Amino acid sequence: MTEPLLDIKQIDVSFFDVRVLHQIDLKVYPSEIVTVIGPNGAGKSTLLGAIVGFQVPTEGSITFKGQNITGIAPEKTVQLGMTIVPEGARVFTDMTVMDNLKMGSYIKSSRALRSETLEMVFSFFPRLHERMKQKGGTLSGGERQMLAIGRALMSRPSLLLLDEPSLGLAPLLVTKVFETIVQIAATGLTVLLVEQNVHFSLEISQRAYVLENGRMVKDGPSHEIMDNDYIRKSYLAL
Amino acid sequence: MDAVLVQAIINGLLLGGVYAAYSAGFSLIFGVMGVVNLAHGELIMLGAFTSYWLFQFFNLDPYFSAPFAMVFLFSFGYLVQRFILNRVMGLPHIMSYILTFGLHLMVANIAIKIWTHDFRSITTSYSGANAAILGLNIPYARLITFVVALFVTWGLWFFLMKTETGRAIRATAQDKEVARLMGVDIRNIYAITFGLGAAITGLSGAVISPFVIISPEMGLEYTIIAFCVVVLGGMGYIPGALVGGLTLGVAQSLAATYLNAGVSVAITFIILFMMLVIRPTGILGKGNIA
Ligand SMILES: Nc1ncnc2c1ncn2[C@@H]1O[C@H](COP(=O)(O)OP(=O)(O)OP(=O)(O)O)[C@@H](O)[C@H]1O
Ligand SMILES: [Mg+2]
Repeated sequence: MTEPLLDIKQIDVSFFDVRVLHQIDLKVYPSEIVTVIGPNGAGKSTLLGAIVGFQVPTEGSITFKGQNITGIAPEKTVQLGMTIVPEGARVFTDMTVMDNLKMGSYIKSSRALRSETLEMVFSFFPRLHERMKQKGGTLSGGERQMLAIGRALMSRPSLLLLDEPSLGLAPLLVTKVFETIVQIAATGLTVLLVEQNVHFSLEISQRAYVLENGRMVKDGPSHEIMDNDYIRKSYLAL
Repeated sequence: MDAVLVQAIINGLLLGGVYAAYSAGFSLIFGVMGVVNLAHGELIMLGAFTSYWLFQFFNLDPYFSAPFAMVFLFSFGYLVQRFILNRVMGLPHIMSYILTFGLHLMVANIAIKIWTHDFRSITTSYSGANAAILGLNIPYARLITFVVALFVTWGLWFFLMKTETGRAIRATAQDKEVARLMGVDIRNIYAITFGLGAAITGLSGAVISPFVIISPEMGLEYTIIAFCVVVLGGMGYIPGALVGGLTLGVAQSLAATYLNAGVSVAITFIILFMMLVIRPTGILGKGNIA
């Protein structure tokens, strides 16, 4: 197999004295959709935080494109080609949709491609084009999630991290968000998706990891995880 | 309308435009970093002295010294943030109050050591000259300063709304974590923001120098006025500085005309007190009081 795009080896992450992640291993290969599922408080956001650089692992290493990025700050990791859609979208509420998108391409390498990337984003989300001049804070929950995804794409990442993009959305919008993730991945982007909506995320991903209480308890091809008895009982309520 | 009233309003507006210019930087610094800059008036003092010495040594007109004051104060502000205030960002706000208060004492006292307690002023060819229009008196210097002040406040707004760096400043003010995710080096943005705030404040100090008393101890009074203007207009909301500045200017001028000069100072505190109690988000309600 090829080299992994993202390679996490045995990381531990703590907040002050409390260890939240224990010996986490995770690999993402180019062009894959990989999902991490787990209940509230399992440490999913903390894991993404460690990848982009908000949290510094106390043990272990994180490698991206063959380069050791352990402990590198978020403003640097984005320049290496990864972006995150944060939990709850966190659009800039006082800025227009257009300014939000422009912020997404703040780094020099993506600034040069701005108008071309904007066109791509508007083709994924025509709604954002209609709302261009509106303030982020006036958008609906679904539109905010689209804006957050669009803003992340504006940096032209090779790895897209998504933190519960379906959180709080109506069922119809949830379907739409997952469809869009598949379309985005089809353009060649690699996706690491953190979700509590286990059904959909296992459906669209190739491989899955199960995180509970800060430990990886299972991993494997998504269809196998989906057929696993334990997963069916505790996550899919079947 | 009665000519005394019109004259009082015009004086108030001329004064208020200047208030707006030197308060906009105070508002910007608060809006982005949450720092209440207690050394704000010292930036004005340094701007005024820049203009004073350029006038003394090179006979440079105060309005032409404005760009020099801007460059000097930008550098000063940038360095203060980069090497001093950045150390306490993310800590409780009381830390930055203590630091800026210390900065106020330090800058004012060093200035006293170098320049003594003397009061100084700049006398230009147009000092004291008035344009008489329809029986109203409009001092030339104040009029020019008013125009420059409005232009500068607008320029800051334009910079924040239209440039890459301005956008990054706004993003940092709203959500610094997400701004970092976009690739913004927020510590550098903080330094640029303080630099910009200091630059327009220093410029204001230079353009008021033709008609104010210049001394190392002049700062505190200006800090208080800036605080009042920004509370009136809404903390952290730049166009609010204009609203607050003009409102305070007119209120003071009316009080000075119809009551007496002493009351006009008291008015500042009465308005400040009432605003904080009744409407802490400012006249327009757009202030950020978090
Ligand atoms: N900044 C922090 N300081 C201290 N503890 C934290 C911090 N952030 C998260 N934690 C703790 O770490 C654990 C994992 O939190 P995390 O947000 O990563 O969970 P999650 O899997 O993303 O949950 P959710 O599905 O609710 O978003 C929780 O016990 C949480 O209380
Ligand atoms: Mg989470």
